[in-house]
Amino acid sequence: MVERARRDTRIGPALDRSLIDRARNGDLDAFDIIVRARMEAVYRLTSAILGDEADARDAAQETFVAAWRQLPRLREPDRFDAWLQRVAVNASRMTLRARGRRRIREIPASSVAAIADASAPEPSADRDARRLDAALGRLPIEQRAILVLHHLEGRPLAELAAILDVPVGTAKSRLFAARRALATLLGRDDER
Amino acid sequence: MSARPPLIGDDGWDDGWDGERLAAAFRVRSDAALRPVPSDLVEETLARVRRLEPRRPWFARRGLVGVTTAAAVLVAVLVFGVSTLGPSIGPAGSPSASIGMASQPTGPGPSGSAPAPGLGVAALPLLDVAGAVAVRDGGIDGREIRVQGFFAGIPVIYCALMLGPLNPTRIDCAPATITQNRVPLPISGSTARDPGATFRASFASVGVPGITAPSIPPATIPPATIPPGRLADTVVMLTLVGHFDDRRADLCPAQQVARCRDTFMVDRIDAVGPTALGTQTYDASRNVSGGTTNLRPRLTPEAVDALLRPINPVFTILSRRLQTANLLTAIEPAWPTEAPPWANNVPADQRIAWLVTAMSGPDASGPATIRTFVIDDGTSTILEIDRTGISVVWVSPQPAVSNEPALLPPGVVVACGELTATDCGPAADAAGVAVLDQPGAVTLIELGSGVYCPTAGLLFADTSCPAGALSPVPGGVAVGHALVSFGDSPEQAYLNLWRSDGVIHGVFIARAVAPSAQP
Repeated sequence: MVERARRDTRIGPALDRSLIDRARNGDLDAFDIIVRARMEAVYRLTSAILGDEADARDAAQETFVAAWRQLPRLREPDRFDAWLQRVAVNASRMTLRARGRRRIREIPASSVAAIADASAPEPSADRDARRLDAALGRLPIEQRAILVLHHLEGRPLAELAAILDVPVGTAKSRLFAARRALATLLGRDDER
Repeated sequence: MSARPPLIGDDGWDDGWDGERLAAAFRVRSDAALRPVPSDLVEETLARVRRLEPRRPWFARRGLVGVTTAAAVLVAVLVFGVSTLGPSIGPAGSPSASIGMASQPTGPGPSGSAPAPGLGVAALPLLDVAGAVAVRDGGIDGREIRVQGFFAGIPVIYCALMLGPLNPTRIDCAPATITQNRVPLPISGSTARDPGATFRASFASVGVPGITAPSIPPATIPPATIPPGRLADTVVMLTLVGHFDDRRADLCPAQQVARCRDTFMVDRIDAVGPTALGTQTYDASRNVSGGTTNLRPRLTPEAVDALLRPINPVFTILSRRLQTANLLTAIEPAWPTEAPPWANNVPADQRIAWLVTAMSGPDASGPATIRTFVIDDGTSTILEIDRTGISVVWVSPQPAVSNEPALLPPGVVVACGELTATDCGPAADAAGVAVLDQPGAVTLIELGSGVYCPTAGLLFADTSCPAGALSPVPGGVAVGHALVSFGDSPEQAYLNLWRSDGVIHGVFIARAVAPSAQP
């Protein structure tokens, strides 16, 4: 079995339970601390899912706005981080939906030049990343998110299940489906 | 092409992309996309949170009925005594099911289209009124819910002194307390006059049952269910689908936003008593014209639903509202009164528009949410309205008028942008023809009024291209641009559009992957 190269899966020091309880009860100062403690992790996740800085920024902001609104309904404060990442995935989905309605885009000419110069050799890692980016862009956001969480953030199945709020078996099958869809797209790319 | 085979072991795939390679690619991709957290992001986020309304404590306002300002809409109150009312509540002839038992309505109405069991509306859990109030008071939550409660009193109020734009969430029109007094309680006992949990509902999207019955088929309420003219004396149990915290609440006057958010926007009357209804069409023009209608829509309700299917094949159409376009401002406060998005010469009061509420979910990804579309009956132009405003989506092909594209294959989505309905179809056709030699199937054509200007260092949408930078079609004039997406490629085709001898041509400029947005 290939050992997966993993990133640090910690998203920051564990938050004090009382802090979360205070935020649940409407304490903005407590929520302020939470935002500062978790913004980097959330921004990293939305960036990885969306692959676009501006979209990641919007999604990260929406994550905390939604979290503030929904905190009173958080059933298990001890699983706050998993819940927050679920909110971030949902926020990424909404951002992506909004992005789909853009009407006019600007493209730097360097992009066009890059197409013309496509025959130039490209480092394999960069080429892989580009192909991965293209393939991810064609996956539904749910599959994109689960792949990011697993292959970039290094989340094991149990944590995936917690973040997605589904049983481990369901998380496993979703991960498998996402991986299969990605493999199909990457394979299609190979055949070109 | 065959799908790649499944995994080998836990982590290996025979597509050459094992876990290590995949993780490495993810890291490169992530590092390329990720810069340090923008320095102002935390403060900007916190500023947004602080601007939000303070959260409301759970059940803090149970049973609250306010009396405040002027507004204009239809007011109704759903009442239900959670713990005091027995299963036989209701006058003779009225439904007698118990809320606590959450009885399911039976069968669709005479000509409605009911969702399949377990799907669509049926997938929403059935709440009682107390449960809905809990959702309302649990914080900002616009999820779609299904709720069953008793409908009593029909204070149809029009406020002559209403200030500001119409807003369907503003139902505080004086005297709101009339709703308490109009609750007929046919049982005796010390709690008989306690309506229990209540919330206010706006029927602006679907019409108040028994009063604003639609005239466009199918009929909304089975005649035998509610005796004509007797609704005011009747307590009727309704099953409603709708939501609190409607997006339009944000457009209420600042001091009323919180109250507007508490309004339950009814998106569908799912059942009257035990009788389930299908997806209904509410003729809002009939309501304001004294019960008559002159609307002769070109589209059928089924055709309207079909127009939305390419956007999301699993949409559940909750309801349709039909009106002349000038009446859209009554339900959509953001609707422009002077320059409708489908600019052309047909006056708004002669143009028929469908307002369609469609639901996605609930599914594993989250609770059910709705999307709102306005469809111009004459051109099939589709617009979507959400919190961010109005955007144009036009789905092809739905042959109706000659201005619609005829050359594009089914399923291609066309966004008309700023182009007129007259130019949109031919422009989309021209773009489709211009990319025929491009690999991949076209999925989306986004049109706009500017032309792409290929100057050194930048391709951009603008109408002020430097002289000589473009090679126009001889004798032609610029119409705009097209951005074409392909289903199996991240690349997009960039085209300019020109009109020559009355015919629109597409001129291919480049095919490129859209870069990340610049900060």
